[in-house]
This record gives sequence, C-alpha cells and structure tokens, in this order.
Amino acid sequence: MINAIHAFFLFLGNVEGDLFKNFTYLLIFMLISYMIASEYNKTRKHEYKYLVVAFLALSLQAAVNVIVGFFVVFRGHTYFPFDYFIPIIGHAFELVGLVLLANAFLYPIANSEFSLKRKITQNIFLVSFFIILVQIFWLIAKIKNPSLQFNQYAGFGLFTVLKLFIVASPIYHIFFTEKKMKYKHLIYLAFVLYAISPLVSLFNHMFFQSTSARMDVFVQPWPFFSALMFTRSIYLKLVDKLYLKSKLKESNLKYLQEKELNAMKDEFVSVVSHELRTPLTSIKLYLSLMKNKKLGKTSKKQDDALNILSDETTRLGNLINDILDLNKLESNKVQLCLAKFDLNELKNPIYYGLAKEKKLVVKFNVIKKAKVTCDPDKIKQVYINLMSNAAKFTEKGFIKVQMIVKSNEWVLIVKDSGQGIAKKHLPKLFEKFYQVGDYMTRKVKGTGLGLSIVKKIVDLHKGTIEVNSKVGKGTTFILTFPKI
Amino acid sequence: MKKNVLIIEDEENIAKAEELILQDNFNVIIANDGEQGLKKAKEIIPDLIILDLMMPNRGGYDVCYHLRQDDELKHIKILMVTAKDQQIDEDKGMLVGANEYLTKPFEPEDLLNLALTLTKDD
Repeated sequence: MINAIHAFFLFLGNVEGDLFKNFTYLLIFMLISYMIASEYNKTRKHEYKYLVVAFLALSLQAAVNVIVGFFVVFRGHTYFPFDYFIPIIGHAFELVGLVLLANAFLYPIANSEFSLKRKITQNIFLVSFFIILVQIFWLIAKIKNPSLQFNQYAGFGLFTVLKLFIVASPIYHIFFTEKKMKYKHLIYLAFVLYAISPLVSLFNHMFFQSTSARMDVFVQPWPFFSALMFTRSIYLKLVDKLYLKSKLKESNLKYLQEKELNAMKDEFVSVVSHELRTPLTSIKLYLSLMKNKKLGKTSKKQDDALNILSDETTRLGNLINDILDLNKLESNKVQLCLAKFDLNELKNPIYYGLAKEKKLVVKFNVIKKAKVTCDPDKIKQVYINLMSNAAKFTEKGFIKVQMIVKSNEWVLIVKDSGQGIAKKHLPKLFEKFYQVGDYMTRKVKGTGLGLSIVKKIVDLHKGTIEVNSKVGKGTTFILTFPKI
Repeated sequence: MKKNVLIIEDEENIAKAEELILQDNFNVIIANDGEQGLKKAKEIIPDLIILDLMMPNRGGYDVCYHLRQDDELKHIKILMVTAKDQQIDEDKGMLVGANEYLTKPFEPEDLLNLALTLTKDD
C-alpha cells in the first residue's frame, strides 16, 4: 500500500503525472466555477462572484499547464514562448485566483463589503506589480542563460512567498474570528493544505536550489487534496442553501395557511358576534319594554317570569361577551388604552351587584392618592370578574378590597371569606373553561372564562397575579402591576 | 313639538323595539337599509339618525360618510348602534362623523338618554 502511494506520488512528479494532475484540476475547477456561476445567476451575491472569478483563474492556470504538459508529453518538446512566458502566466493566474479565493471565503466574516473590496484591489495591485517585475527580469535572465529553469530563479521564490502570504491571511482570520462561519474547519483545512506546497517549494528553492527530487515529489498531492476540500465546502454551501430554501418555502406556505386560517377565524368570530348580539338585543329590549309596562299591564306571576328571563338574558349576554373577549385577548388584538384612573372609583356598588344582592359585607381600605396609569375599562373588567367570583363562592361573610400604591408598583387585593379552593385546583385556576368541581353537581354555574380573562388582562399590563386560598376560610387574589 | 328621529336598521325587531322606546319623546321614522335611509333623510331632514352598521345595500359607515358630505344633511346628529364592539370600530365610526356610538346589546334607558342628549337644543 505504502509502495503504491509512493509510486503515485512519484508519478505526480513526472511530466505525465503533472499533465494528469493539471487536467484533473482543470475539470474540478471548471465544475466548481459552473456550480457557483449558476448560483450567482440566481442570487447575485458578491461572495459567489469572487469565487467564480477565483476558480476561473485557477482553471486558466490549470489549462495553461495542461497545454504545456500536452506538448511536452506527446510532442517531446516545448515551443519558444513557453519557457519565456508560460511559467509567469501560470503563476499569475494562480496568484490572482488565490487572492480572490482567500477573500471570497472571508466574505462571511468580513467587517464590511467595502473593506473586503479594498483589500482585494490592494492585493491584486501588489501581485500584478510583482508579476510584471518578475516577467521583465525573467526575460533578461533567460536571454542571458537559456538553460535556466524558472524554479531555480529568484522570481520563483518570490512567487512562492507571495502565495504563502496570500494563503496566510484566510488561515489567520478564520482561526481567530469570533464570528459564526459555516464549514469553518473545512475551509481552514483546505487553505492549510494549500499552503504546504509553496512552503516546501520555498524550502527546496532556498536550500537546494529546487533540486531536491524528494521534496518535489512531496509537494505534488497537497494542492489536489486542498482542491477537493474547497470543492466539498462549496458543495456543502450550495446544498445547504438549497435545503434552507426548501425549508423557507415550506415555512412561508405554513405562515400563509395560518394567516388565512386566522383571517377566517376572525371573520367567523365577527359574524358570530353580530349574529348572537342582534337577537340578544331584541330579547333584552322587548323584555325591558314589558317590565316597564310599555307593552301593557302584566300580572305578578308574569313580572316574576320576566325577571327570570331578564336575568337569564343577562347571563347569556355575559357569556357571549366573555367568549368574544377571550378570543380577542388570545389573538393578541387587544391594545391597552392607557389613561389615569383613580382606584377609588372601584368602590362604586355598580361593580359588585351580586355581593350587594347576597347582602355580603364589602369593605374597602380607603387611600387618598390612588391614581394609576392603566386601561381603566380593562381593570374594571378584571375587578368585576374578581368581585363576581368572590360573591358567587361566598354565602355569608365579607369581601375585602385593598388597594396599595407604591413608588414603582400598585397592588389590588380581593379577599373573601367564602368556601375557598383546594390546593390541587390552584395551578389550573386560570386555564380557560377550568372550573372547580363537577359541572353537574356544582352549585355555582359559570363558563370558567372569567379568571382566564383576568389573567390575560393582567399579563397585558405586565402585571402578576397570585392566589392564596384555604378550604372553608376563603380566597385572596393579589394583583400586582408595575407603575407606568 | 316632538323632534324627528330616523332609525336606519335592517333588523325589523330591533327597529320596532327602538321605536317603542323612543316614541313617547320623538316622532320615529324607520328605514330598513342604508339606501332607503339616505333617501328618507333627504326627505324629512330628521334631528337625529340612529344608524346600524352592518346592513344590506349600504353599510352604516358609508351612509354616515355620505350624510356628512351633503350640505343639507351634515348637521344631523348621528348615533351609531352596532354589535361591533372593538375600539377600532368605534374609532372608525367617529372618523366618518358619528356623534355617539352604542354597542349592542344595550339597555333601553341608554338609547333614550343618548337620543335626548343628542337632540337637546344648545
């Protein structure tokens, strides 16, 4: 196995191997260029533009080497311009390709597109200057000494240093960057592998005048491995993009479907709201007209029946309002209408009708400065629900209402002496439709939406709600709101 | 002398109930849709229009807007009565020129009180 690898390395060091190697590079680089060019056509991303040009330059270098290799292998000689210009042209393409490649891979971690463009321009100028300089001096040196080989000439050493300098930049930046970069290790490894060849060549040039055959063989495979790594990283980038695109398409479709569903739900709720409230309005108005004897006299029994109908209509109305309110709160369509509100207003008996009806003692702690910023209608809704709950579950005793206004928050406490809630029910108390006890055997009827609405409104105010309860002793709701 | 109130409401039962609530204090005229409402408004120039929002032919917002564009009718007080209870609906109503907004279901006293307040001579 080791012999086979050694033989393969030796083969790559031959003129035939060189032709094979360069032909493979040409195919790989052309394929990558094609892949990235197709992607650039779709996305017009600058990163891809630099990559396309970089791989095209590398393809050209490989093409030049293939043409030269072809003549050497199949014709057994080279033409006049080959030795005078081709080595420099080949290196020139490689240097330009490397500048673009190094900076294109740095694109995702660059500070700005402008700084990257400036760096590319500076590098290309620097590289071009040295290429022209080396070409002039190489021509003079070659004319003086026609048997001189380019890899023994000082210009070769200079080009190798330039290659190392260009490749060192991405190695350094990728290694030390704190920014996120996809396939960072793969790209890093590709550049490191690429750097091995010029490094060994430079060593060979400096210490052995490029005559060490072992080193010449050793440098052969690394650019090949590096090219494979670059191909893989580009392939993964493009495949990843395709995957993300399909995911994005999928989630867009899902979003549109959800949007449509939400619109349908809103429309449905709006229609239901109208269709339920319209007959309810008729019933309420006619009941009221009958109760007020506007439609003729009624007997005592009829009055009683009308009172029951009126109460049930109010209950039905409250239920519809609760369902619609909760729907609005859940769809995040409710915005707070903030205004100054005096908490002492809550002492008005219209907010605790049931407690009054049941002759419960309602106590308030009076505070002088009780003005807070909130949505007054929503806070009243919260208060009505809490007071109604307290009254529902308190047969006799009291309801205490306490208001505390501190420097950074205000607190509303509603405490009753009712039947209390068992500990196991407390965590689920604010879930919609959740009710303590079995519906059929429960004394107090309701929908189980009141506390859900309370919780949602408290959340909208960025407040918190806490419940303390003991069975047989009563329940306390503590609502804390930040001061706005 | 009693003042004139035009009720523009497509729900006959509600229109009739509103008439019963208001008839002691006002002369009540009923129109069953927006188009008819605009026509009757031009004929009788009422002191107050009680306007439903969701109606066939012409919706309440549209009727209100047209009333406010007409030089002969733009002084009429408009009370919007609707099942739409969102703040944005009320804001829209006020924007097109309503004077008051009442959400269904309402108490008869609320309707009567608002009607009396809106038609009170300055």
